[in-house]
Amino acid sequence: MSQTVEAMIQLDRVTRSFGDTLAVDDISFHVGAGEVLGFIGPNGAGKTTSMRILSTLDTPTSGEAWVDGFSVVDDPDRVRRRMGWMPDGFGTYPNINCEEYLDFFARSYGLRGKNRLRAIRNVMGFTQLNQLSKKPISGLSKGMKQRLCLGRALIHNPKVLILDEPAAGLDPRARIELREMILELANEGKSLLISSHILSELAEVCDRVAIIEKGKLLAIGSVDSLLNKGSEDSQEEKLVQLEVKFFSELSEAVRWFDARNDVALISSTENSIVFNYAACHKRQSKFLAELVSSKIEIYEFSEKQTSLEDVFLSVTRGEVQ
Amino acid sequence: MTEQKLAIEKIRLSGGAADSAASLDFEVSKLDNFLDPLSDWFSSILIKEARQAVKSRQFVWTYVLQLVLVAAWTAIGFATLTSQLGTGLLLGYFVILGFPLAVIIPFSGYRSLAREFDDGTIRLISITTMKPRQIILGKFGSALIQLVLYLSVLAPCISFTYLLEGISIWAIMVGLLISIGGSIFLTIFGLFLAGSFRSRNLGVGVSVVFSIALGFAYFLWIVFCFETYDGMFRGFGNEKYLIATGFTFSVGSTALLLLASVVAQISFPSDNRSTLLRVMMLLQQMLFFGWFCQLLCQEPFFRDVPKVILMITGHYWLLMGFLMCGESSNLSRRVRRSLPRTLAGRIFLSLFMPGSGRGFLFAMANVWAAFLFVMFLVVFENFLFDWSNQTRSRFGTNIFASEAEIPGMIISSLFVSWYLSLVFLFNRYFWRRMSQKFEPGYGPVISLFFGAALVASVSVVSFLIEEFFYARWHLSFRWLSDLAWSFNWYTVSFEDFTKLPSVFFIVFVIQAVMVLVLAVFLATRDFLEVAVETPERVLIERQPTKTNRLPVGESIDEIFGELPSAPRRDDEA
Repeated sequence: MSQTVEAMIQLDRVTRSFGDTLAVDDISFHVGAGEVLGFIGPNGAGKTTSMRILSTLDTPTSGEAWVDGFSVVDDPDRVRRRMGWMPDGFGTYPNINCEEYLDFFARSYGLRGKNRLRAIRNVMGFTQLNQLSKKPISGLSKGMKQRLCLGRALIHNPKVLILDEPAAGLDPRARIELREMILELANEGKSLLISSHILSELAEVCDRVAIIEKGKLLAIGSVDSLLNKGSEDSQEEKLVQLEVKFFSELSEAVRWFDARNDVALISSTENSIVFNYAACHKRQSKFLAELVSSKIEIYEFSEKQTSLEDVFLSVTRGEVQ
Repeated sequence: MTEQKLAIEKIRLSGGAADSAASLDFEVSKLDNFLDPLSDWFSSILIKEARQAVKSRQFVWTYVLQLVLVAAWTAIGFATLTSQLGTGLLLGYFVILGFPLAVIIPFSGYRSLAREFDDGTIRLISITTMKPRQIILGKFGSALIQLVLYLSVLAPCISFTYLLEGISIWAIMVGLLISIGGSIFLTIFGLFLAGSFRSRNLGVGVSVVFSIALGFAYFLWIVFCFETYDGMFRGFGNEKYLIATGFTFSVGSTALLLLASVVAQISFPSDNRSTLLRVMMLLQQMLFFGWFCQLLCQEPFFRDVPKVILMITGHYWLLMGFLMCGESSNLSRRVRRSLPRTLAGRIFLSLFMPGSGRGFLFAMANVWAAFLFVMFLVVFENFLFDWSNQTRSRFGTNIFASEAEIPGMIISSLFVSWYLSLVFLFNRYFWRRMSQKFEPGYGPVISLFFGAALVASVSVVSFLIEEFFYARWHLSFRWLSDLAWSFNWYTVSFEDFTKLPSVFFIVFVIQAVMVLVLAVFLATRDFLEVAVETPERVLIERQPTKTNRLPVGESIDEIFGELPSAPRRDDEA
């Protein structure tokens, strides 16, 4: 098994099974320094299991995983110094305030004296929790708790951050603030692996995206390459979503579309129709010519932009183990 | 300008009324700044739990209640007790002290760890740089702090009773030692339970059972207090001293074993979870031998010592052997780095490393050590020392065994070896077949359950054999079935072996040796695992902090965990 030295996170043919259930099946990928990799997949796809392995909470049944060149199985203590993990739950304590919470983890990571105080102050500043330092954790909002947990993961200034569903349950403002923090961390050169169900947000912060389903890695690449996947091949027939806008009566346009067997209407407004059409580029242009030569007065014909959600839906089948 | 100076300035501008408060804040802040670096020497868990405890209602209420009860009992005692005032007051104080020590502290220790599992926070602690040992000792330390706080309420009152009539310093000391020792043991047992039963549903049941058990422990404590009241512990004879030391050794070493066990339970799967446990087991056996030597020195007429030693060690290593046979034989690379590399190391130290085969051999080696210990004492008595003549003339008996009993003793020892080898052999085979279906962590427990079922079924078969032979032929086969059926080796008279038909004797010995050799041969496969080199990057990273002085791989750090480092100064960081 080979190890890419430049990679801050690397999984090489990692498999994890629980009895007969294969939670992670022969997964390989890497995350470079300063890179943000989005990890997406349906529930039960194996995202959290993979992240648990990288976080030194579990060991793979077979395969290897490294963080900053150290094996998560053989040198977990060294990996832990370099890695911060934010789980999908908060993991807080009763009868303790924000500062004491961060102080506990700073001490647990071996920070002493002024280094510890400095680390707490920096994290408080970064997560903007300064005003709430003496507030009991139980009194914090969900967004604030999430910030605190991000602060905990950052307290020892790790090179690698693993965030499991960081935006789950947050309101729009908290999400935006979290996104900004993630981008700032990436700009500082930290490597991030983020799993999320909010794909539009991942598209904005991630350099690359990995799609996983039933423990298998289905696709990995930059967001742009995934969005444009297959579009370069003009001969290949693919399903596209098209929108046509017109001045004519809607009923007239619907009649024309209904007469065709090769399109599937999705939605319509007073002067537009969105439909699915499976064809190569050549057939698309022929279709357009036919549409123009009909009595419908068209003023716009466009392919609807593919989103990460569309890619995710087309790659996965929505099955869980 | 520092925050403190700013605060002072602000208050100065706001007027003189707040001067005293500001000055107090400033002094507290100065004290805080002075004490903060000192806190670096303590476990982070200890500090967190202390902070939580101070704010928790449970602690505050228990503490206040204890204060009130102590004050009330002192007043009532002085008002009502006319004779033996000191003893009466002390009895009451011990009863009051017993509740937090026997119930509150152990249960809060249990809940403290169980809550980490319930809330999932154990995952967050596990991925810090703290060792599992530090986590558990932190939890244990916070329980000890509570213990000290509760004791601090009672200590002046208990000391005061000594000045009154009717109570000896000995009774006070014994009472305090047993209450503190008992509380520590129960706390460790609570931690062990929390580490063993991690599922939330199972945890509820365990909480209930444990709290009932603690209630019973408190009841026992009250009974003990009344015994103290009757003056039972005013003096200690040899016999009581031996019982007390035996009890202390067994409870103390069991507490250490449980502590090591809970540390192993929360360790990372690729960590070496076995060595510390084996060291504790060995320590327990050594303390046991040591206690017997003390027994022999003080009570030389004590009979049946060899049988008792064989019985206890046999049962002990049967239990521990089952647990060790369930270990995975596939060593992680992390553990293989610390495998011994020299021939001597591979022969002796490998027994302490994880693995089913090594565990089997470790158990057997300790049983054989017990045999050698007994044989040494017998030879010493019969051939090297005239002790036996003295005791024989005085008591009409030998200390250990007569020369005529020695062959029987050897056969008996061989029988125990054979029996253990056979059940361990089956056990290891079973676990090897089942290991694919279960997580390696469950191995010891599954192995123990299978072993218990195996011993039970062998006992039933032996019982049937016994009934068959004994009823029809009236031959002396009873010893054979008795051994396995009731599993009471000590009931066997060593002389019985010499009465056996020689053919049977020879057949038994031959097959016993063959089983033993086969079991040992199969176990030695584990010794074929060779050490692997530590990656250069790991060595480089380790270099500035300390030098590896030991010749074997990752050495002591990998076995016992890295030693806690002293807080670094800022200029070093």
